[in-house]
Amino acid sequence: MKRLLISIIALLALSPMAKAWNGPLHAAVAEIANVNLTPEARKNIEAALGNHGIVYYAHWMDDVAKTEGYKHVSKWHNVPLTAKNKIIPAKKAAKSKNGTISKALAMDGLARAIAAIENRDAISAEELKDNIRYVIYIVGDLHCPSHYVFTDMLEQRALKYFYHKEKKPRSFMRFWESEAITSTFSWRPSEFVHQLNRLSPEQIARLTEGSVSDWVKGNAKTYRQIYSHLTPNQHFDKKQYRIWLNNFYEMATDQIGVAGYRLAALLNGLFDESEPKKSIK
Amino acid sequence: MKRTFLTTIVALLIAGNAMAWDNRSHSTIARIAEKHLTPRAKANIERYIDGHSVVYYASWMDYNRTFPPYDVTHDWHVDYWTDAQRTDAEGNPLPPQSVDNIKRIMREMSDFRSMPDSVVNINIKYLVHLVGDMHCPVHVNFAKYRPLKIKWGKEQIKYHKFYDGYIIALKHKNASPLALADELDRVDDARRAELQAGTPDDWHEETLRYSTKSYELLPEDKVITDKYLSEVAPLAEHLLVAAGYRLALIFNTIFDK
Amino acid sequence: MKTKLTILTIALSVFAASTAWGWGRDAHATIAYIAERHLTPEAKQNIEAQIDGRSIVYYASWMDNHGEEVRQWRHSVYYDPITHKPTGTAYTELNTTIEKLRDYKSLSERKRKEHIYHLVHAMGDFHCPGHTYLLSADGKTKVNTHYDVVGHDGKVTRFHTVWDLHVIRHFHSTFGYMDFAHSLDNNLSQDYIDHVTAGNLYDWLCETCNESLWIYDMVPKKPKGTPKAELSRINIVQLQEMGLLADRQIVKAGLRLAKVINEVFGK
Repeated sequence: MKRLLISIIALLALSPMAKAWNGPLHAAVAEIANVNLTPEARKNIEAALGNHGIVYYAHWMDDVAKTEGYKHVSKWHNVPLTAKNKIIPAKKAAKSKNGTISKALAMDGLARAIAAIENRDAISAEELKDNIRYVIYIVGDLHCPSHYVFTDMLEQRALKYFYHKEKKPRSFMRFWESEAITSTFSWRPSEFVHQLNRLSPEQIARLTEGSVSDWVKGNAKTYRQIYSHLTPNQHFDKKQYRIWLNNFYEMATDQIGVAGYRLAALLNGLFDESEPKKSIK
Repeated sequence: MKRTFLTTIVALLIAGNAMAWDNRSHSTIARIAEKHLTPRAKANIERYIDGHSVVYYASWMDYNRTFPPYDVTHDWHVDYWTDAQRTDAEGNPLPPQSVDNIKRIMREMSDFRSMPDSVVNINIKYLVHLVGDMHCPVHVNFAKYRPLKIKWGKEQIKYHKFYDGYIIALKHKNASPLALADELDRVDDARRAELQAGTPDDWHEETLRYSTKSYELLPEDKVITDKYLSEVAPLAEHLLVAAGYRLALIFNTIFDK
Repeated sequence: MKTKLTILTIALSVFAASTAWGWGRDAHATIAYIAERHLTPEAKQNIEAQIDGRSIVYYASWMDNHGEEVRQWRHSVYYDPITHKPTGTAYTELNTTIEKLRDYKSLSERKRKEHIYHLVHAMGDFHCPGHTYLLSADGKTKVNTHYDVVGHDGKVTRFHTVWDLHVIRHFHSTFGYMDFAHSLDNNLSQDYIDHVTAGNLYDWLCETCNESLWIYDMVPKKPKGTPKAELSRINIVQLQEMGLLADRQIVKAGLRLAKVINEVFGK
């Protein structure tokens, strides 16, 4: 039954090349951000996006990843971190001989996009549109645990497990694309707003304080924990799997909300002059 | 038992064949229409459909076209089921089925209060669906596109099926119809009035133009690319919105009295 | 049917065992969301304060997800149409849960939460026609929905799965719980709400039973091992009839859940 539900949800999502949070979960992040934009920021953003809301373009960066002219975005999904949860600077990471680390340039992509938006008089309308869409997507990825490349435990990224009678192992990293949430909740993206958009202004202020780097370092502490719940090639029967799922779904679901609030804070700072600007460092 | 068995098989065969817009698209059209109903029209309509929202019945016709008594509606979903149906026995041109039935229902419903409740009920279900279908680019020129196949990834599927279900689903993954309606319905009153102008025949002509445009966008090797998707999705979205506004106009004309 | 199956007793059995998913998640979420829409502001605030500020919808299927970790509520309500008396533990357990929640401030935080999760979930399962079970004369052979049928898609499936999933999903495949609630709980008249929420849990159980038993007439059980060609087949018209019943039950369950929560948490 559970498998059936999961496969039906997967079918509904029709996601051919899911990375990171899959499309619907990126849309959920954008939905929460959307209701937390100031009217001024929303007006400016939607004008720049051609009378579309941010939800409309929530997973656009993934949709164009294979299109000519957008190949560079494939490196903008992951963040490399040291054993002490320090972000490895893009210049250093890019030189790494390890492909996983050298392609983990999400912070660089976000910094470039923010810089471009801040100097928007110098770029075309189309470029502004692209950069807003990069921001919408990358902030979502920065709240997905599998996008944190912990360089002291790289081998953990290859963790696999076996479910029920399946012969083919499942990837723990893939699990974080959606199953961490959708195995428990079948909400539509807009329904995440009803579920998660219930923090007080004080709670939101605490959640969004600091720079993007501060957010990432804070997330890293939590996300590092996920690996402690799995041993290599662990087998689960149906009951054990359900119990195991219960380790993750609450944390994973809440990250969608956190990402949404922070994306709103970032966009408000960029598109509403009365709001505080968020910096990368 | 044997009869049930046979009809089930027939239903399955046909169901796989032509499924108009998918449930998300039809529901989104119905929701956009609902948002633009006058309070009086909305109240009158809901009185005939057990208090449900019209969104509930957006796909109803799709599940009721293979069994009596509604099997008569089977061909209404498209313009012409086969090329042969374009003319009558004497060779006179026949009107497209979907548009013709919409016009007939609009005429008959002009005095809806004199009709039996059950007839008004069924006509609401027809309108909410058919106005959507007549705005579906693979439901005009249906016979032409029916055999066409495209390649999507490793899959070879019918162009019809791809257009109906996949384009909107790929663009708006897992979106709730309520939310999608809000996302797409964002034009001002003047533009909405512009879209509502004209007759069902004019709207049919417009869908034909969009149908041709969509077809021309298809790569020659019929392999679906992300580029094609990004170009064709706005056409499909425009038609959902236009269908929603026009359905609202039809409902308001009939029921706001 | 009665002569054929020599049924004397009819049982309504509702249980939340992890192997059986009452309604699927969409139906449970819809029921909880419809209930939430009918809560008084005080009741909504009070109940959410008990569950970490979350919506009751968040916990609609908690019982299915955490069944292995907490005490398993054994739900088995037998309804006798001759004496009109429900027996079994499901009904009494939910009643006990409601009674305990009336004095929720005296419960530990953990108990308080568990009772709320139980209430939110069980009120849904109690209204699922797929949980209306028949007992034979000896009181032993249950005719529950755990038998094979051929579904509308031509595939062999458990009749139970038809109720979990097909009746809800087939006709509104892209709906979320908000879309369902919008469609079903759409300006319901106060008369209707009053009518549905009149009576008590016992009355609601009897009603569910009486309105659901025809599903066994329409889709009769065939003995285990019956070849596919001879199994009962569900066509799309029958599935629609069952879908309409399911949707009616979802609305009723939502309104009744709201009534109970308003009574318990509304002060």
